[in-house]
Amino acid sequence: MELNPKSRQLFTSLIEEGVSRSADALGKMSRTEWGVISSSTNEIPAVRLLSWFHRDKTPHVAAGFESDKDFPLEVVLLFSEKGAKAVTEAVTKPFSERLRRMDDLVRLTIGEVSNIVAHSIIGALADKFDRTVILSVPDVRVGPKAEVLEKSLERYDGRNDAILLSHVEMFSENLAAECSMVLVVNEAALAELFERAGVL
Amino acid sequence: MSYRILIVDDSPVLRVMLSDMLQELGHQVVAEADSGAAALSAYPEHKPDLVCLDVSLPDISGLEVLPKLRRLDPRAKVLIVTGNDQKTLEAKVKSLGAIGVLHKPFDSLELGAMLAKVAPKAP
Repeated sequence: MELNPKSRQLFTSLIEEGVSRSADALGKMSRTEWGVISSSTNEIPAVRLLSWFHRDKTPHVAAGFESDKDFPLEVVLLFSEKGAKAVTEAVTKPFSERLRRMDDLVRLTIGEVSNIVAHSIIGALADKFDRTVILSVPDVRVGPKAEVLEKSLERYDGRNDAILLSHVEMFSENLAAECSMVLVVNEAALAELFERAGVL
Repeated sequence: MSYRILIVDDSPVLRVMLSDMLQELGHQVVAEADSGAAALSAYPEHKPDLVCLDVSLPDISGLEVLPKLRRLDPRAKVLIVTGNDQKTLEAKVKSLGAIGVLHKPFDSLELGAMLAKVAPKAP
């Protein structure tokens, strides 16, 4: 089952609304403005996304989330190592020494920041379907982009499943940090949700 | 009014941030729990005035923890503290007995305002 053009347009606009909420949330946490450089939603095989991401071999800190079975999707946020450190410093600065002395502070902070941003991106989508979508706790990984993303695509058949991928790039000039966000939805499952909910 | 508070959140970073803000507002954090099971075991031990409960937890969700806490103590005051801003969530947790929902990210002013708002409504 595939989304019809109107459903796909609605999905894209709901994600765009979520992207705007995400940039606001990231800005509030890091106390600086984040701009959206690019945002696109396409039906592409997972292997193509991975091959695109394979070009960047530098280490990234990524946080992956999966939703409950009723509304199957994955969200992954990726920060460069330098960007992850800058975001961590900005987010934790006003708090006590107890926080700054914490082991693995960058991973833990990126996990928490990503949790809030990931919920923001799916908020408009969940509201439209009148659903409560609860994401898992963050699975934080460190490695090259393609490697950390691969795990979130494991449940899909990379070549045969029709997958909708929303890919967002955000940047903070003040922090010199960028954030990539990838939302993965199985198109057939989404089309079923649209049909059942009678949204279009 | 000063509360004795139990914080339930899987993120150690959020627990410290929330704890700092609560103490700055004059409240006492009596315990922290990183999972639903830890929360259910800490509650009877500390008998807090208020529980700040996250929804996404590693074992059972906050939506399952909430009614269990209310069964342990029907007068338990539970404030949901979550990054999930979906419209249906607020109605759902209130029907389960939560006294309010505080959306992450928040600052100590917003936290203080929320505590002031929900306190008189608490059972």
